[in-house]
Amino acid sequence: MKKILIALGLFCTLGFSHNLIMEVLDNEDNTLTIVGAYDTGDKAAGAMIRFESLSTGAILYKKRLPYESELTISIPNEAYQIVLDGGPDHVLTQVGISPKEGFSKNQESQVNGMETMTTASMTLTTQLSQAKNNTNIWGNLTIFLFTMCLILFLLAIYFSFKNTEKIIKEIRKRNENIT
Amino acid sequence: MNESIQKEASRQGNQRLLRVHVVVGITFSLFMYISVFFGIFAIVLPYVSAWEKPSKHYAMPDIRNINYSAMIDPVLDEPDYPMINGVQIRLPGYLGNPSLTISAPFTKRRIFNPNTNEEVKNEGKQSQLAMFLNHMHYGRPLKDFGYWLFGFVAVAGLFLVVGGVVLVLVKKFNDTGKNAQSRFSKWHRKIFTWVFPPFIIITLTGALMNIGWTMSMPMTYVVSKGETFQEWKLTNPVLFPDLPRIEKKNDIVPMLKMNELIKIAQKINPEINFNKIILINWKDSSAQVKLEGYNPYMPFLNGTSNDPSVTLKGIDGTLISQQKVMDKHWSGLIYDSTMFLHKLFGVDTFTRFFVVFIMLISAFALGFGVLLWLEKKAKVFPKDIPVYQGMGKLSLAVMIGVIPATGLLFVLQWILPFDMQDRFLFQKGMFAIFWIGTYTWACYKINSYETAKQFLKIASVFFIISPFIHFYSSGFSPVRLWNENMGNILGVDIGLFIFALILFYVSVKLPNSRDEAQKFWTRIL
Repeated sequence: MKKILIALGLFCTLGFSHNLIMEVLDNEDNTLTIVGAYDTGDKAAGAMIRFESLSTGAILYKKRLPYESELTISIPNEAYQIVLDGGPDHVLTQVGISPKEGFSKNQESQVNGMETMTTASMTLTTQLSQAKNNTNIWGNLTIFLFTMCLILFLLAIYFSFKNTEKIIKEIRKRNENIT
Repeated sequence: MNESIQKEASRQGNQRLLRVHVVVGITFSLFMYISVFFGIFAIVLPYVSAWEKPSKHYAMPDIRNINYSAMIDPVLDEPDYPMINGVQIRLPGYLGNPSLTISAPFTKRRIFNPNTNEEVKNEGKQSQLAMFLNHMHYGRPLKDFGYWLFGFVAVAGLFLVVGGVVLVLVKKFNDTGKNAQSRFSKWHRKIFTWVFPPFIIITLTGALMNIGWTMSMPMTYVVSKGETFQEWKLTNPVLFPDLPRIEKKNDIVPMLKMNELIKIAQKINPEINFNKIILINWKDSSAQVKLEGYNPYMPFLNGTSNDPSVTLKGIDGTLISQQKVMDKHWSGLIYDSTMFLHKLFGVDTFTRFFVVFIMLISAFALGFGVLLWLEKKAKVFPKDIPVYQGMGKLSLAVMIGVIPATGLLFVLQWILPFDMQDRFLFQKGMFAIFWIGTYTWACYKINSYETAKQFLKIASVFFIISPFIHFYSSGFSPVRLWNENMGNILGVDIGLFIFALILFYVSVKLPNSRDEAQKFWTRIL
C-alpha cells in the first residue's frame, strides 16, 4: 500500500515540473558564462540576465539571453548577484563569482557571509531581486488550509461513526420491542 | 424449447447489463456530477472571466475604431521588451474579452483598454475564478491524477450512456409506479434518452482531452517505429506547428502601423475575424506579422488547431502567405470538428445557453440516478427510523454541498483585496474547507432532508450577496454597467441573483422528512 501511495505521489508531481535552471561557469579569464534553460531541456532564450550590486543595488549589467541561451560576460569588480529573470514567479538568483584578483575588501565580506550583513545592507536586500520559482513546496497558508480540511474530514468520519452507532441502537431497540 | 432458452439468456444478459450499469454508475456518478456542474460554469466562462476582473470592466470597443498602434507600438518600443520568441497580441473581442493584451515569454502580460488606449493593471494570478471553475470541470486541481481520474470518468460516462440506451431499447421498464423510486427511474432514463447524442460527443472529446493523448503512447511508439512514445512530437508539427525561425538582418527599420497591417489582412481575407497577431523579428527588415483568426462561415472546421491566417511583411504589408480553413491538413479539420462541440469555440450566446440547458438537465438526470440507488438502499431501514447511509451523506455533500461552496467563491471574489498576498490560494482553500465542511455537517446531522435545505439556503445567501458585493467593491452600479455597455458583466450579476432566488425557492419547497419526500417526488415528477 505504502509503495502504491509513493508511486502515486511521484506520478502526480512529475508531469508538472517546468522550472528554470541557471548554470554559471567560471571561464577563469575574468569572464563567466551563464546558461539558462528549463529542467525539461528547453532553452530559455529571451530571459533577462542581470548583475545587481550587493553594495548599492545598482544594476551593473543586463541583457536578454540570445537564441543560444547563453551569455559570456566580464566579471564586475564589485560584489554582485546574478539574476535570471524569467518573468513573474520565475526569478533565480546566485551570488556572483569573484574575479581572479578578488573584489574590494569591504565588499568581499558581503559575498562570504550574506547573513553577517549590517542593518543597512539588510535593507538593501529588499531592493535586490528575490528568488521566486514555482515549486511544490507548501507554504504556511497551504499547510493551514490542508490541516483544516483534514480536521473537518476526520470530524466527518467521527460523526458518521457515532450516528451510525446511534441508528443501529435504535434499530436493535425497535426489534427487541417487536419480539 | 430453444426459443425459451434464448429468451432466458437474453433476460439474464439484460439483467447483467443493468447490474453493471448500476455499479459503474454509482461508482462514477459523483465525479460525473462534479464535471457536469462545473462544466456549466465553464460554458459561461467568458462572462465570468469579465465579471471577476477589474481589468475587464469596460465596454466592448467598436473594432472599426480601435487605434491599435497607440497601444501596441509603445510597448514594442521599450528597449527591454523580449521579442526574440515573437510577440503575441490578442485583439479585443476574443472570447468576450474587451481588452487588448500583449504578451511574450519571460515578461508580464500587458493589458489595455481599447476604448481609452490606456494600460490597465493586470491582476495576473491574483484573480482566477473563471479558470478555477473550468479546472474543476476536468480535475486539474488534482494535477495528473485529476486528469486521469476525470478521463476515466468520461470513459465510464460513455459506457453508461451507450449501455443505458441499449437497456432502454431492450428492457421493458415500468413507468407507472406511484412511488419516488419509480419516478427517479423514469426521469433518469427519460432525460438521458433525450440528451444522449450531445452527451456522447461531449464525454468522448472529454476523454480524448484528458487521457486520449497519454493513452496513445504505445500506438505512438509503434507508429514512430520506436522513435518516440510522446504523441505530441508527432501531432504538434501537424496540429500546432511552430513558427519558422527567420534569420534577422540585424538592422532597425520602421514598421508599418498596426492599423494598416490589420486593414491589409482584412482586405486579403475578409471572411476571417482576426483575433490574434504574432510578430516575428519586429523592427528588423526581416519582420513578419501573422494575423490569425476564426472563420465564422465555416464553423466546426476551425477555431481549435486550425487558425486561418494571413502573413505579411512588417515593413510594407506585402503578402507573404495565407492559410485558409480548408488548407489545414485533414487530421486538423477532423480534430477541430470533434473539439468544436466540447469547447464551443466561436458560438453565440444562444448556443452557449442551449448547451447550459442540456448540461443542467443532465445534472438532474445524474441526481435522479443517485437518488434511485439511495432509495433502494433506504428500504432496509424501517419507516420510523431515519435513513443514515454513507453514500447518501457523501452524495449530499458532493452534489448539494458544492453549490454553497461555489457561492462562497463568488462572494470572496470581490471581498478579498486584489493585492492580498496568496489571494487565490486563500480563495480556493476556503472553497475546499467549506465543501469538506458540508460533508462534516452532513455526517453530523441525521436528517439529510433538513441538511439539504440548509445547504441550499446558505447557497442562496451567498449567490444573492455576490452581485451586491460586486457592485459595491467594483464601483460599478447596475445602472452604470448598463449605461456603459457592460451588459455581459451585468448579465452575470443578474444570473447570480436569479440563481439565488431559484435556490431559495427550492430550499423552501423541498421536503423535510422521509414521508414528505415520497409525496413530494411523486407529486412533482
